[in-house]
Amino acid sequence: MNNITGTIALLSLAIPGFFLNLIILGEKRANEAAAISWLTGSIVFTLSIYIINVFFGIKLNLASALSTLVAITGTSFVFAKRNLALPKINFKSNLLVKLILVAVPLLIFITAFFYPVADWDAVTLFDFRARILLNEGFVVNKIIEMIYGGYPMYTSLLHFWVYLTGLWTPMPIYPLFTVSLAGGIFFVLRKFYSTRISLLISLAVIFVPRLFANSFIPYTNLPYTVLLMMGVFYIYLWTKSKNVSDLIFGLLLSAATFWVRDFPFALVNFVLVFLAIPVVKKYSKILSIAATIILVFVYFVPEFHTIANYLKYTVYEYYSPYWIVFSGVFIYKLIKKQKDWFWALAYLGYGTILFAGTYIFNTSIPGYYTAVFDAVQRMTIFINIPIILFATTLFLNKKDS
Amino acid sequence: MSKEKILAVLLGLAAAASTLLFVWLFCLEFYNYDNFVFSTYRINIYKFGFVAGIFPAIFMFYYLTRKKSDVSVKILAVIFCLVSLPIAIQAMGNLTARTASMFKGKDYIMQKSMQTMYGGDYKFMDFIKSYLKEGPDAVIMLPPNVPPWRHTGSTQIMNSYLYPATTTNSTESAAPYILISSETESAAYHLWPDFKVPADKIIIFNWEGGAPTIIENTDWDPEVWQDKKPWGLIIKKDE
Repeated sequence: MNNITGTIALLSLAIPGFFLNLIILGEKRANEAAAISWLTGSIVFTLSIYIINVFFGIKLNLASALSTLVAITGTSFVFAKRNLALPKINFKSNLLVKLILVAVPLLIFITAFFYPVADWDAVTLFDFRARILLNEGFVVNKIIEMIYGGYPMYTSLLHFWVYLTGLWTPMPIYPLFTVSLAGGIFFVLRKFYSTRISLLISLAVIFVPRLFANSFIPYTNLPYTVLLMMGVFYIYLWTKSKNVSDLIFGLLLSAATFWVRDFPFALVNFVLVFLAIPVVKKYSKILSIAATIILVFVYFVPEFHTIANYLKYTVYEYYSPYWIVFSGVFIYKLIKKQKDWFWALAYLGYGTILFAGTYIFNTSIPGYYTAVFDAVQRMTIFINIPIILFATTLFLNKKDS
Repeated sequence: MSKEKILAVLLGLAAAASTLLFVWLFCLEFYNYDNFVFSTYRINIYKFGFVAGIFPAIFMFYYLTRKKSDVSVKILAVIFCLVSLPIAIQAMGNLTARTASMFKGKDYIMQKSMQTMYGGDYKFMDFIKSYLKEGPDAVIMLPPNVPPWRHTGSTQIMNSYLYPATTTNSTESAAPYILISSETESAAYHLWPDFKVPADKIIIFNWEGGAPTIIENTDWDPEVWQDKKPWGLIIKKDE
C-alpha cells in the first residue's frame, strides 16, 4: 500500500456515489450525479463501515472495509443499471473558464498531498480517532469518551480509509468537498442560467469568506457546509421543478449533515420544503419581512441583547459586506415586487437557528460562547451562500424571480 | 484611439495591476508566516484587500454600461467584484504559495507545518517518543494542565502525539515515565517535576540538536536541576 493506492481508494468512493445519484436523479442528469458523486459516496461508505463495526461487531481492516465498498458499489450498480449514463461535458464553449475550473481544483488537490494534519481539533480529535481505529479496529470507548466527542465519525472514518489504503496524509480529502460544491452548484444552476452566469455564480459561492481556505483545513466545517448547501439547493430546485427526485435528494443530503456534526441547521432546509405549497409561497414575501423584523427586534430585547450583539460582531459584521448585500437585494426585490423569497427565508432561518443555538448554549455553559468566536465563524461559513443565491434570483426571468 | 477606449484600457490595466499586486502580497503572506506582509511592509492586506476589487468593479461597471445591460446585472457584477474578488485573490495567493512550497519538498512543508502548530516543542515530543517502549503500557506522567505547561501539560495534545502511549496529569499515577518540563508558556518558570523521584534513568533533551545527556541510577531532585531549566524524561525505578 502506498500513496497511489491510497489516492485511488479515496477517489473510488465516487463510483458508488455516482450510481446512487443516478438511481435518485435519473439518467438524464448524469452530470449532476457525477459532480457530487464523491460526496454521496463518502457519506454512504463511512456510514456503512460504521454500521458493520458498531452494530455487527465486524473488525475494521482492509478486508472488511474493501468488501463493504465492493458490496455498496455492486448493489448500487444493479439498481442504477436502468439509468446508467455517462456525464457529457461540452468543451466547445467557454473553454478557458472551464480549463481554469479543472486546473485550479486539480492544483489544490495535488498540493494537499504535501501537507500533514496540523490543526488542533483534527490532531486531537478527528485524525486521532482515525489512528486509534486503525490500531484497534473498533470504535472503542476511548474514541466515544473523547473530549468534545459530540462529532459523528464521518471525517475520522475518511481519514481511517486513506491511512488504511496507504496514503500518508488525509489532507487531499478536503479539496474534494470544495470541488463537489462548485460542480454540484454549477450543474444545478445550468437549469436556470447560461453557462457563463452559472460559472460566475459557482465561483462567487466558492469565494465566500473562509470557505476556500477550509479546503486545506481538516475540520468538519467544510463537509457540513457542502452537505447543507447542496441539500437546500435541491430543495430549492424542487420548489421550482416539482420533481420528486429533487426533493428526495435534497432531504437526504440535508439529513446527511447530522452524520457530520450534531447541529440543527438542516431543520431550516426541511421547513423550506413547505415553500413548494402555493399558499405558503404566496406569503413568502410577508414571512421574510416578518422574520427580518423579528430578528432585528430581538436585538433590542434586554434578555437577548448580549447574545444578539455577540453574533452581530462575531458573524454578521465579521462577514461584511454580505449582510449589506442581503439588505440591498431584499429592498430591490421588494420594490420590484419579485416573488422568489426562498433564499431570503433560508438566510433568515439559519440566522434564527444560530441565535437560538447560541442562546441555549449560553444557558448550559454561561459565557463560554464568547471564548469560541473563531469556532463560531468557522461553523457559519455557509451563512453567506444563501445571500449569493438570493442575489442571483435577480437574474431569473420575471415569471420566476 | 477614442477617449472611451483609452479609459477602458487604463481601467483594465489598473484592474490587472491591483489584482497581481494583491495576489503577490497574499502569496508572500502564506509562503512566509502569518502577518509577514504587515510586519515587513506595514500593509494590512486583510483590511485593504477590498482595494483589489475596486478597479475590476469600476471596469466591469463601465464595460456593462457600454453594453446597456440590465441594471440588476450591473449591480451584481459590481457586487461580485467587490465582495468575491478580494477573497478569490487571497485564494490565488494562497494557492501560488502552496505550489511554490510544494517544490521545496514534503520534508520542508512537514517541518514548517509542525513548527506552526507546536512551535519548537514537536522536536522535544519526537525525542520523548523515541524513548518510550511501544504499546499502550507506556504511561507518562505530565505536568498539571495549567500555565506554564500549556503544551507539555495537555493530555489532549500529548496523547495524540505520543499515541499509542497514554498520558496522565495525576501525580498519584504509577506511570513508569515522568516528563521533565521547563516550559514557560504564559507564566513564570516552574520546573516539573517539583518533587523527588527515584529514577532508573534521567534523559535530558538537547535543544541544540546534539545527543541527549543520560544519567543512570541517580534519583531526580528538583533542587539540583532548578537552575539548568532541563527538558527530558525520567524512567522511574521499578518498585
